[in-house]
Amino acid sequence: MPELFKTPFEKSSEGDEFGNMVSTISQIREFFKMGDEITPFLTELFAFLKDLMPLMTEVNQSLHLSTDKLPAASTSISKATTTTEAATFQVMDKLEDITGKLTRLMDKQGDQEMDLIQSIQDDIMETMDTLQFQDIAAQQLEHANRILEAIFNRFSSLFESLDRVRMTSKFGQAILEALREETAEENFEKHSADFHEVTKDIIRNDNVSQDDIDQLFNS
Amino acid sequence: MIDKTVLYVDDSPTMRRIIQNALNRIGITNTVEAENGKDALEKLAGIDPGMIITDWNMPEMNGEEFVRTVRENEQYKKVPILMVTTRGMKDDVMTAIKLGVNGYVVKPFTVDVLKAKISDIIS
Repeated sequence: MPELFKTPFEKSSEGDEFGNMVSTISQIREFFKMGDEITPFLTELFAFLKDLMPLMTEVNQSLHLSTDKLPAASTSISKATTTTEAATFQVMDKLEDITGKLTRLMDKQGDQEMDLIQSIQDDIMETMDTLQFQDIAAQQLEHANRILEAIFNRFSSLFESLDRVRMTSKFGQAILEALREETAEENFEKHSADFHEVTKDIIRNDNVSQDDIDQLFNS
Repeated sequence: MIDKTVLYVDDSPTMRRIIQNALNRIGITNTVEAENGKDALEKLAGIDPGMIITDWNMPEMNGEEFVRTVRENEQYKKVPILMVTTRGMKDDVMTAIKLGVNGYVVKPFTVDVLKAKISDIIS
């Protein structure tokens, strides 16, 4: 067939190029169409972020203030343990002193009084045993302390990342990058695992009974 | 009750004093105290232990690590170990059994319970 009678699409590579151009124009049109559809959403999103920024700044400042107080709270808890421990020791000293005096008194009394004195001594020893509460309470306080420390560390790390966003953010791209890093699945899982490990309850309330323990040892 | 030395390990001075007191009332006077697993391992080297009583939650070296280390040592492999702790979950007890602990008491304990457990272990 003479060259003159060929359609543009039959002109080998020229026809392909024309086809590609049409396809590209079609894609660009689709892109702009999507852009038109998404623009209202992006406008809303930016308006929302703009409204949110003052609130976030206020929350950030409040958290900073609260977090600054956490080490003081932690120190107070440690002091409480030291104080109760010293007080418990004083009580124990007194109880042992009374027991000693009763033992000396036993030598000077008859059988009837001796039974009574022995009974008083037993009561004193039982009282001494109940002072175990001090150690148990101290462990619970220590656990609360560890939770406070974990919260403090977690907030500190959050503030660091917020500072990083501020330093690098010329626009939302930088903010998004930092947020993406902070909320990356592996980071999130690591942080959650660390936090859970530190704060997990070491003194739980659903303890098994002594009989159950004995059965476990015998099974 | 026990001729050899009883080593008791607890980071709380209050608990150490209560355990010491309780052991005396049971008739055990040959005792040595330690405030954590690391301290206990050092003390073990200087005694002939008849029994070990240990807490679980302790700084430096906790009871779990301490028992594991003791059981890995040929010399102390068969020394009876009683765990006295606030940890009272079934999982905790199972872990202790796997570690090779011979008896387990949850705090707070009474002297009668402590005496009964010690008797069980040494018999």
